[in-house]
Amino acid sequence: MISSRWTPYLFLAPALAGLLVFKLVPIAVAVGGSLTGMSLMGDLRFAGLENFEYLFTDPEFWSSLKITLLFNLIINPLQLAVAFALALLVFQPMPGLWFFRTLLVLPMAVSTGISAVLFGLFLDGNLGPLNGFLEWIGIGAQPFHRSQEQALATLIGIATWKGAGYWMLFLLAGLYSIPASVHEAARIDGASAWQRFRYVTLPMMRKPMAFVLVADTAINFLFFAPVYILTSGGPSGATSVLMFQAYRAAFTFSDIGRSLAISTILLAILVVIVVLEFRLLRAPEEERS
Amino acid sequence: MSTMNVENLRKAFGETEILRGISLDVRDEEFIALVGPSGCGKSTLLRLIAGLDEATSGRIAIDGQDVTRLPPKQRDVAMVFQNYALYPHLTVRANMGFSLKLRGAAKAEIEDKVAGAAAILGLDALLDRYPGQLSGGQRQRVATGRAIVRDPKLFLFDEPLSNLDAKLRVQMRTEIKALHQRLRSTMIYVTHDQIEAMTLADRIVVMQAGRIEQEGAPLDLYDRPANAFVAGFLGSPPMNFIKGRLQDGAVVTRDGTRLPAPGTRVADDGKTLLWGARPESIVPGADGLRGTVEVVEPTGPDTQLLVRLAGEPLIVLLRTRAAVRPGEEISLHVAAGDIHLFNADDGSRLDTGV
Amino acid sequence: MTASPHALMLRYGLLSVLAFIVVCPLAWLALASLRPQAEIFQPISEFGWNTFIPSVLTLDNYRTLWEGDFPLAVKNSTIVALTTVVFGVTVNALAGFAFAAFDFRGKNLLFLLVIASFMMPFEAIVLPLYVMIRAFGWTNSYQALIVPEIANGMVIFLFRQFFASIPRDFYEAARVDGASWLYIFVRIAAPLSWPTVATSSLMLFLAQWDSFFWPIVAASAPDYAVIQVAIARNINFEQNDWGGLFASTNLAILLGTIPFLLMQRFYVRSLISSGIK
Repeated sequence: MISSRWTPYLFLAPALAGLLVFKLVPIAVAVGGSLTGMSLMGDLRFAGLENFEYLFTDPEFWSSLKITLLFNLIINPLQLAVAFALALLVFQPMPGLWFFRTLLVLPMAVSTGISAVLFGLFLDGNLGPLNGFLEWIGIGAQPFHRSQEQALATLIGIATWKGAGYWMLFLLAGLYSIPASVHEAARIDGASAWQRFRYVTLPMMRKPMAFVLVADTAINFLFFAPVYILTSGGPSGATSVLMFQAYRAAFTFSDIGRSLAISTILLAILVVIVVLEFRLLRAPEEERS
Repeated sequence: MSTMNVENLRKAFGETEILRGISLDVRDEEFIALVGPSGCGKSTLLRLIAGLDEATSGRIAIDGQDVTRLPPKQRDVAMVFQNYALYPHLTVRANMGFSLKLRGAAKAEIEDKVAGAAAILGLDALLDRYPGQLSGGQRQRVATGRAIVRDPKLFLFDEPLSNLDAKLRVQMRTEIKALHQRLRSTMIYVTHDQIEAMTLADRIVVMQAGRIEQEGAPLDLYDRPANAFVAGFLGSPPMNFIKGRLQDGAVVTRDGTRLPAPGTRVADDGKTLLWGARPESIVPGADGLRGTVEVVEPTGPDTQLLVRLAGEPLIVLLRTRAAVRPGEEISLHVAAGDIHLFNADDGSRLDTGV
Repeated sequence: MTASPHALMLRYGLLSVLAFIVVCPLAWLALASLRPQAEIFQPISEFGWNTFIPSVLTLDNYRTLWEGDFPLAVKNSTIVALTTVVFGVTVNALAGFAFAAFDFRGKNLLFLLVIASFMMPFEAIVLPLYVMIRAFGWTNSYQALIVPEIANGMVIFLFRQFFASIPRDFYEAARVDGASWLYIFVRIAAPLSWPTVATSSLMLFLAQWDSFFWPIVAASAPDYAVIQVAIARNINFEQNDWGGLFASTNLAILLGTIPFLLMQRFYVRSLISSGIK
């Protein structure tokens, strides 16, 4: 189509400038800044790998890395499994289904921070109804995010409450995209309900599951608001994920350079994980073509 | 031996009746084509035979055994789907061997049977490909191969060629015919394409609105259609119909033209009839049906004319290169045995002495 | 295939339990926010119907809330979210249109940039972005909260998908009739795209409504505190003003869920189409 050579770029300019300045440049700033000693006051000096050297010898950093990995190792498969189970439950039509679907996706409109506040109240040791219920049935009140043992699990629970319905939607779309005739062919080939799930549904869901796992992991590696609001990394560092460490380095210790070094490490881990997961989950029929 | 019997089969989805009492007997080794316009219930009938849907009432038997309430697994039928329904995540080999694997067959046996079917269909070179890497015709073959491997009692085809282009469709049609002659298995084939039905089937079952209109050998149906629907459905271009009133051995049209109606009885005089003649049985001749040529369409071997006769459009297919031009008058003749008469009210065939 | 009645019962049972888990905390909070201040503190030892059902319903907590600094937070959140929606929809729709309607040098590379930008969550760059914003002198201002969130890869993608679904003949016919590209965009393409406009608006709105990390880093001064920051700032879980906390949290939830419920259908459909390519 004939148009002035500059027309497309004029249409693109505002949005692409925004993406460039506010999404791409920060990555460069993170990497560049991690090599400096920068304070909140604005002093700047080149520091080479000092920040990284400091982190790699800091037991607090290693324990935070371990917690971040542990958190992700549990929450991502858990959310995928819960979301898949939900998708299977709301897949086949039945009367009143829209009602359940709407309720299950409702938490996606509640922000992460507000979910944290909500559960802070709901799980509270003095007025929280859940603890009241646990007392009432004889299990006894639980400390939840106030104890070193249960804090991480509590955060995982809150994030799953908020996220499972959202991820369910993508898996549901995946289920719908499997042609009905393929299931019918399998029935004629003699497959039982379980065999159809195992040999047809599951392998054909690889792509949407890969998408959910990757997107979910990317978000959970940067888990922050509930930690900030509910636990401040505690008790005793039990929930001190890397993102919180990065925040603390900047705003508690005024060490922007170190904060950016943690951001850089997070970005690098993120890239590696995304690539790895895509590799692992790539469908075999796509490997050759 | 594999026979298939359907007795008074009905299927309704809520208030809507899709099948209104179908009875059909399929003999061993027979190739049956179910044809009809879309929505006539032919695919539903096939799905009931396969066990994919459950009949509302009636009985289905395969080899004399009542299978009406059995799941597909226990019916030993194979089906080729319109969109092939291949498993996209499995190779051609695994697709074809899937049913045997589920049945717990030995690896060597699966290999053997897949190789056998692949040889028949010329799929040997494609066994390690995925369905996404195949052309439409190749996918169709794999779908057929998946059925062959099963060695089922009954082969079911649900419009297997309708997603292919015209040229490939003709080629695959021939392949399916050759396959039937080679395997000599009982096959039931659903299509909306009457040429496919004519060329492939031992017997055609024409359906409309959930009922069987007529069944019989292709040429019998073509030559002696039981009603105006079957007459109009089989044949391309379709049969010409002109409405008129029977009077003294002729059908008199609105404008007074007398169309010959040989063999009619005086008792039927006064009835409103459809006078029918196939385009290829109308030939130039001196004895009287005079019309005006409106359009001339040479196709190479044939010439198709649109003639205005008794105020109605009439398609004439000449097996020659006719030297006629639009606007010319033409005199046409139809042999007595090529004239079909149907009652205008219910479409049923009018018995004549011819 | 007809499922057995037992399987159906099991499905209803499981779904009811799950729906209860989702709704229970929300419903509890909503009801508790309507209690009189003195009744909110329900000791866990007195678990029973009273834990959930208030004895009197009152809007006192909301009234008190209205007299404090919470209205400022609502105003801040609204200004930030609405401005982002207006600018975001315009800017990203223009870009989406360019990707759909034109062929130009570097198109694939630029589109890859768009895709990559929404694969990476915003939180990953909050700290380096803070360093930049501080250098611009934007900390504690509306523009710090709004400007970085305007360009949005996901929204560009949605608009591209929509505009690409309109046959190019449509635009070309207008070109032949002598229309400028800007005229075609404003008068022909944009009005057709209202479902995408609706979804994108909700998407941008919820993104701002959901953001917590960035506001707390970039604009933590009380004058610019958005709802979430204001609430988070007020909690220590040992306070006396339970009523205010309950009411403000519930209000924040309602302000997010109501637009979501109204536009759920559109939103879910577009969201899914962006995930499945």
